[in-house]
Order: sequence, then structure tokens, then C-alpha cells
Amino acid sequence: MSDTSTERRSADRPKATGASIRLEHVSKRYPAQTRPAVGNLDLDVPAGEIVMLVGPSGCGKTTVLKMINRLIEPTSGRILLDGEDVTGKDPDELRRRIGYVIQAGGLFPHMTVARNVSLVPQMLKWPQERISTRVDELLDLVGLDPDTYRDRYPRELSGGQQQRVGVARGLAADPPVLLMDEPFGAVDPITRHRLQDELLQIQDELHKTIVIVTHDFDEALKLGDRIVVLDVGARVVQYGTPEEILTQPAEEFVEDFIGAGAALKQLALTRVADLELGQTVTARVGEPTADVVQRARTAGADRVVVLDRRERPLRWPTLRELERSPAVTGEVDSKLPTVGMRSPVNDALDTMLVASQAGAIVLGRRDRYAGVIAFETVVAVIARTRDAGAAS
Amino acid sequence: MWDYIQTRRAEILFLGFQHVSLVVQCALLATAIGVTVAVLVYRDGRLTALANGLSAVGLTIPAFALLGLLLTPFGFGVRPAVVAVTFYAALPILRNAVVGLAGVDASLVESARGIGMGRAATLLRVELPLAWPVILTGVRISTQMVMGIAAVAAYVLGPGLGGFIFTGLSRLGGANALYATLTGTIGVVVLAVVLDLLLVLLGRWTIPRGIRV
Ligand SMILES: Nc1ncnc2c1ncn2[C@@H]1O[C@H](COP(=O)(O)OP(=O)(O)O)[C@@H](O)[C@H]1O
Ligand SMILES: [Mg+2]
Repeated sequence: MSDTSTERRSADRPKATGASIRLEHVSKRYPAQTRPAVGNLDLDVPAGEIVMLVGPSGCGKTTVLKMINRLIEPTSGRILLDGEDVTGKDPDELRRRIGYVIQAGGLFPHMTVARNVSLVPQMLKWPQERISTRVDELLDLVGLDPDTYRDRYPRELSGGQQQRVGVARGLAADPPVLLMDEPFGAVDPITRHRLQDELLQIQDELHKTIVIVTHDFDEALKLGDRIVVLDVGARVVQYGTPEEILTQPAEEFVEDFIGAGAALKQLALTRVADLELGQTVTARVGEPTADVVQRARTAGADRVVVLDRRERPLRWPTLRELERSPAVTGEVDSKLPTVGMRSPVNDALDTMLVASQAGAIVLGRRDRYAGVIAFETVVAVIARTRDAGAAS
Repeated sequence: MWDYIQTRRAEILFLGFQHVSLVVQCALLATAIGVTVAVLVYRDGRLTALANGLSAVGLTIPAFALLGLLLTPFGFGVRPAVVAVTFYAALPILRNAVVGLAGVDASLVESARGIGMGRAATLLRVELPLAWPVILTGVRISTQMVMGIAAVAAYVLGPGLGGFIFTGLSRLGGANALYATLTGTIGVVVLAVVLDLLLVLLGRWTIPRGIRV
């Protein structure tokens, strides 16, 4: 299964725009500390992949991440970006080539969304016109309508929206590498799932090299092409794909970290895209209700997905609800159960349970409608995974 | 009293203008000095403590005493007045600038460095703008305080409305003495209120909506 998904992904993916990252014998010893925070770390991050650094608090994840953009200078060792040693480069110039996103976005509260996003292109002296176009493009990429959000201040945004702007700012100058330190730690679980889905959608378009620090193993399984499990002193306990880590944990430490229910965690490896998506009747805002109902009846559907102009689902009403107005209205259901193509099936299950619905809408790139997934489909996968886990 | 004011209108206006002019120029200078010193010390705990200590002690020096001491190097006139007023004005601004700069969220500074802003750019584009509301509060406190101190500066023949006050006080009991003192005092208070209003407007105009309270 993993082979086919890798093949499929590499087949329809253009070449990675990301750069490879290589850490060679990197150490960091903080003053007045007996043990080094990072001791002799070797790590290869392939171009165009998402690599998750996961491990207990204080094990050195943040230190490793910040040494890549030299917010923290390594005590010894070399760091190579696309084969080029960056340890001697001007750190400010280096950082403009590496996107950096922290928890809650790290947005500057005295600047508008547009100003925040345009900071790096400005430092790189892009022409003003190109910067404005780029800002709009990025807001669109992270799912924020530029006309609505461009001139807002960070405090006028929700936590999830701030985080999206943070990602847009990190990507502003199209850096080959993006570093993220617990980016989704400050938002509620539902928003976190959405932000994770969106990051996967974005990566599906951009193919950056992304290094993400997290202490959430489920997040690592969901987002990572590869996972680095770290112990104190940034000792690499295991470096592998999510499959490898779940099925062949290298040490007891990894097993402990995976926690109980390893069999069920395998669910995280099955993506929504691997399941059979259903199709249902869709309707556009403004369409005469009668036409839509007719279409739905012909297709035997009792609900329709209402899409906006950009094919993004707004709500999922029953025919009876739809018939309340003569034309399809554009209200938004804020609790609409949606999952991304690359979401693990356990996320899909969560989403359905939270919304108390027997299905979820699947989103493709830029949150466009891609299909629906039924509760039964998900339950069947869960049953199969559990049986496989029990058998092995 | 009204007659007293009417007959000296030109003189009152001129001295009032001089008073405000002295205070505004000294406050500008003091802002530059206070913020510069704050920028130099705020990253270092010991220097910050030293600066705060000096600013607390400085404020306890009686204005009369300081002005008197300044007579020796500077003689009578505008210069000792400017030095004394600027000195007092700089202290609250320094203290507030240190507080404001130290209060900037460390994660924002790191964020700025992380996206490739240099030290100077981080200071100018992130730290100072975020500290600005607190610094401006310091400027307002300073301006209020030195409106009074500038009046005392008339003791060394500095410019401004203090002249009326001292004239009146020295001839207390004589004709118009009370009027002179009242004119000076009320003038200072009125100008202080007007200046403070202008500073509030300056705040409206310079503090971005994103961080306005
Ligand atoms: N600036 C610092 N000065 C001294 N020690 C530090 C500093 N930053 C982190 N450490 C120490 O280094 C170790 C690793 O920290 P960190 O990289 O932040 O871990 P993590 O991100 O995995 O929680 C911890 O023991 C922490 O206390
Ligand atoms: Mg950390």
C-alpha cells in the first residue's frame, strides 16, 4: 500500500521545489549546562518531503530546528542546504531563504495581514507590484479571502486564521525550506485537524522541504513523510516512514512513545484518498431549488452539497431544508464535517462523530469539493485494521 | 484680574509661547535621549536596574537645587533651564521606554529574527513600534511634570511663564502681585492640558489600530 501511494504521488507530482537539508555531527551545548542539548546529530532530510521531529519535551527538538536557520549557532558540526555549507553564511540572508513559522504564527500585532506577509519579499527588495500580487496569491493559498483579510490586524483574526497567515508569511518569498515549531499547538483540536489538512494540500502543490517540530505523535503520523523520533540530547532513536515506525519500533522508547493501541494507530496510515470516495449531487449558490431537487431525486440522493463559486463546500442540507427557499442560498455551516484527501481515516471518524453525521465531505486542493466519504466505509476500514492488528 | 491680563496680553502670549516652546523642544530632546539610553540598556538586566535606579533617584532631586547647581557651569539664562528641563523630562521617558522594550513578547523578536530581519530592523520595525504606546505614556508624564519645572526655571532667568510667578511671589502683598502669580500658574496649567491633549492626538495618529487599547 505504501508503495502504490508513493508511486502515485511521485507520478503526478512535479519535481520537488524544496532543498535537501543535511546535518553533519551537529552539537549544541548551552553555557552552564553539563549535558549538550544536542549531541553529535547526523540527519538527512530529502528535498520535497515533510520530516517530523518528535520526542518528549526538552529533548532538543527546537534547538535542532533553530540551528537549521541559525537562530541558534551550533557549537560544532556542519549544516548543508542542497549540499551548500551554510554555517559560515550571513544568517539574515540565510533566513530569508528559509520560511519560519512558530506557534500562533508569531504575527506582528501592529502590522496588517498584508504587511506581515510582505515582510520577507520587502527585505528581498521585490517590486511593490509583485509583492501585492504575491500577498493575495498566498492568502488565497492558505484559504483566506484576500479582499476580506488583507487589511485586518492579527487580533481581528481567530487563532486558526492567524496560524494560516503565519504559514503564508513563511512561504512569502517562495523559500525551498519551511521550518515549523509546534505550529498547531495553540488551536483547538478541530481547527488543528483542518490546519493540518490544509498544510498537506499546500504541500501537494508546492513540494517544499518542511521540517516540523511536534510533541504530538498523531500529528507526526499524519503529516510526516518521515518521522525522526528523538530522545534527550536529540539522540535519534529512529528515523523512518510512519509505517516503519509503527510496525517496527526500534526500541522500547519508541513503543512507549507510540503508546497503547498501536494497532489502531495504524489507522493513521490509511488516508482518505486510499478509500473509495462517494459522489453526491452538488448545487451552486443561486441555482433554482427545483432544479437541484429534481437532480437529487433522479440520483437518489437525500442531501446535496452546496458549493461556492470556487467549488468550496458551504453546507450539506437535506432536500427538505433546501426546499425552504426558492433558490439555493449561500449560508455557511461552520460545523460542516470536512476532511482532507490526505487525512488519516481516524480523523475522518473524529470529524463525523463531532458533527454527529454519518459521513464527511472530502476536500481536494484549495478546499475544493472532491467527494464524500461514508461512515460505513470508515468503520469497515477500522474493523479490518483491528483484525489485522489482532492477527499479527 | 481681567484688566491685568488685558494690559499684558502680548507679554503673556509671548511668554506662554516661550514656555511651551521650551517644554516641547526639551521633551523632544529628552525622548531621543531616553529612548536611546533605553535601547542601550534594556537587554542587560544589570544596566536596566542601574538605569531605573538613577531615574528614580534623579526624580527626587529638587528642581531648585539642580537649577542652582547648574548656574555655576552655565550661568543665568536659557541654557541651565534647557539642561534642567531635559534632565527631568528624560527620566520618566527612559523608565517607560525600558519597560516598553522589555515588555515586547520575546517570541515576536525571535519571529522577526527568524524571517531574516537584522538587529537594527527588528528594533526599528518591531520592538520600538510595539513599545511606542508605553513610551508615549512616558512622554505625556514627562511633559506634564516639566511644565511645572519649566516655571521654576524662571529662577535662573529661563524663558516662560515662570517669570510671572516669581515676580508675584517676590512682591507678595503689593499691587497686582497676586494677579501675576495667578496668571503664571493658570497659564501653565492651561498650556499643560492643551499639550496633553495634543499628545493624546499624537497617540491616536501614531499607534496602529492593531495595538491600540
Ligand atoms: N537558551 C537556552 N539556554 C540554556 N538552555 C537551554 C536553552 N534553550 C533550551 N535549553 C535547554 O536545552 C534542552 C533542549 O531544549 P529544546 O530544544 O527547547 O527542547 P524541546 O524543543 O524538545 O522541548 C532543554 O534541556 C532546555 O532546558
Ligand atoms: Mg520546543
